[in-house]
Amino acid sequence: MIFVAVGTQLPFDRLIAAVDSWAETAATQVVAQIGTGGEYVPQHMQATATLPAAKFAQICSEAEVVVSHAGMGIIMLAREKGVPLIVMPRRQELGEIRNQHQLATVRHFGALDGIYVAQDTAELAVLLANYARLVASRVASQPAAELLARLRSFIDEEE
Amino acid sequence: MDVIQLSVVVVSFNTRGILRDCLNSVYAHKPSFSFEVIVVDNASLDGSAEMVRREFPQVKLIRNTANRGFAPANNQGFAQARGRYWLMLNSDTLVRRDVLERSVEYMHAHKEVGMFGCRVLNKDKTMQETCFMWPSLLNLALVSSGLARVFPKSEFLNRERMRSWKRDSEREVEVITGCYLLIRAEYAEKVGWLDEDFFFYGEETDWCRRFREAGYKVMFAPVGEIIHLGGASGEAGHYSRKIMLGQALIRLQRKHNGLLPALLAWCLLVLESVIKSVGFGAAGIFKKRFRPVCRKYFGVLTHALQLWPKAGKRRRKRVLAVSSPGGHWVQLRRLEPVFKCYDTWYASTREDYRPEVVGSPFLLVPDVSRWQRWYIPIAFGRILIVLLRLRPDVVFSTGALPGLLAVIAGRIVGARCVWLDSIANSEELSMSGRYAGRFVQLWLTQWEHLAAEEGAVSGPEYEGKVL
Repeated sequence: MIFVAVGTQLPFDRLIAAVDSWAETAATQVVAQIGTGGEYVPQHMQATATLPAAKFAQICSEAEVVVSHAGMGIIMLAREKGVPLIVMPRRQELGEIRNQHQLATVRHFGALDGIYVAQDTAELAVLLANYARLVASRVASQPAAELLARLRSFIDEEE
Repeated sequence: MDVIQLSVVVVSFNTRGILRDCLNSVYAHKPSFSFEVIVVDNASLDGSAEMVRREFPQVKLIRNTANRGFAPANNQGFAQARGRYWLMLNSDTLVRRDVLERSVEYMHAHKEVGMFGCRVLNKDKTMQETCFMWPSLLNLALVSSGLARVFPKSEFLNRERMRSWKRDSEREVEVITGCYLLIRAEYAEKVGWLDEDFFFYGEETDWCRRFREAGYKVMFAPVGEIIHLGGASGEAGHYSRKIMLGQALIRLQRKHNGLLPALLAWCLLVLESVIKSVGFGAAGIFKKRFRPVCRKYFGVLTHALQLWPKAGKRRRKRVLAVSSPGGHWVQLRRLEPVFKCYDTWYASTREDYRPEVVGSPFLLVPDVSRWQRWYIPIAFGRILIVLLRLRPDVVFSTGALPGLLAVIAGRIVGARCVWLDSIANSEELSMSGRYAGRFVQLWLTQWEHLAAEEGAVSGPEYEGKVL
C-alpha cells in the first residue's frame, strides 16, 4: 500500500492529481489524505480529507512508501516508522503555500537516506514507477544530547 | 542496529582519576550485547568532563553548570538512557570480569525482579557490606545506640546490616546500595524515578522501598563482583556528612511512615549525639584520638534543627509544552525524554493528540493563524486563562502562532519561557520565532548558521536538532 498525504493546512492538488493518475495503473493500493479546499477529486485512490493522528501514524507505518509534501511532520514520522518517503515541495508561485520554506526543507533534508525528492511531477512519476526499490533510512536518529541537556538545565534552574 | 540492552549511568563530581579507571574497567569488561555509557558531570572543577570527552568519545556526556545533587543527576542520565536496563554505577568502582553480562542475564531470567545488586568488594578484596534492611526505628535505635558496634557478633543487634550473611547467596533484600544498582527500565517508568528531594544519601533506599511496594522484587545474587573504593564507614569525618545522613534517615521516616516516627527518629539521632559527644568528650581527655569523634557529634548537636528535612523545596517543576499541530507537534514530542522528568502538560489545537501523550495531561488550545487577525486577541485571552489556572514554571514551544501567544501569556503569569524554532525554518527564523525572541529567556534555533554570533546583542542559541 502507498500512502499519499498533504497535511491539514492546505490542499495540494498537483501532488494528488499526479499520484492519482499513476494509481490508475499501479499494482498496489493507494490511500490518500488530501486535505480540505482542493478542487481535484481523486478517481483511483481511497481518499479522505483528514485523518485522526493515531490513524495517520498507523497507515504511515503500514505503507510500503509514503508520498507527501515537504512538511517536517511527515518527514520525521516516516523516519520514525522506517518507511521510505518521496517528497515533492509545495511552491509559492503556484499558490500552494505562503512561503518558500519547503524548498529550503528539501535542500536541507533531501540528502538524508530514506528521503527521495521529486522537484516536479515528472520526477515524481519516475520515483513512483520504481517505488518498490526505494529503501527506508536505517538509523533512528535521536534528538541532540546537548539540546536535551540545555533544556533540562534551563528548566531546573532556580529563579 | 542492535537494541541497546544496558545503559550504564555514572554521576561524576571531581573524581577524574578514579572515574577514568571506572570507565576503563567497564570497557575492558564490556558485555557481549549492545550497551551505552552515560556520564553526568555535576560541574566538576578538576577537568573530569574534558577527560571523558577526550578519552572516552563513545560516552554520552551530560555536563551540568552546577552541582545539582546525586538523585537529579542520575535522573538526567536515565532520561537519556535507551537500554532495557539501567545501571546506577558509582564513579569510585571497578567492574570485574563478566559481572555486567551476568547481571543482565539474571534480570532477563527473572521477570519479577525490578532491582538487582551484585557482590561488592573493598579495595583489599575483602567483602564490603551492601544490601541492608529498611532503616526502621528499631534498626535506627540499634545502630545509633552503638549496641551493634559493641556486639558485632550478635545477629539481632546487627540485623540492619545483616552481618552474619557473607553475601554469598541469592537473597531478596530490602535495600541495595546505589554503588551498583541494576534497574529494569520498564518498571522504573511505572514506579517513578529517584526522588529528587533527597540531596545525598537515602535516595536509593527510598527507591528500593517504592519498587517493593509496587510488587517488584529487589534481589541480591553473587553472579559477579565489583570493587568499591569508597564506602568504608568510619567514626571520624566531618559532622556535615552526618547531618546529611541524618536528614535522609528522617526524610525516609517522614515520607513512608509518617510524622510521629519521623519525630522519634529525630529524637533518637539527637540523643545519640548527646551521649556520644559527652562520652567521646570524656574519653578525649585521656586519649587524643577520640577528640575528632566528639567534635563530630557535638557539631551534629549544634545543628540539631537542620536534621529535620525541609519540605517540598524541590517540588517537581510544572512545564507546559505547547505547539501547533503537524510538524511543530512532532518536534515537540521528540523532546519527551526531557518532559517526562517534570510535571508536564501538553497542549495543542487538535483533540486527537490527547491519546498520544498517555500519562501526561493534555490541554486543547484554540487554533489561530496570522491570517485570521481578528481572532488573535480572543485566542490570546483563552490561552491566558489556561495559563492563569495552570501556573506553569516553564512554558516551552516549537511554534507557531499559538505557541507565541502561549509564551507571551507565560511571561505575564511569571513563567520562564523557551522557544525552539522549528527545524523547517532553515534559512531564516520563523516570523513567530522572531517575535518570540523578545519574550523568552531561552531562545533556540535548530540551525547553527542562524544562531547569534558570540557576543552579539541578540539572537537565538544553537544546541542541536531534534533529529
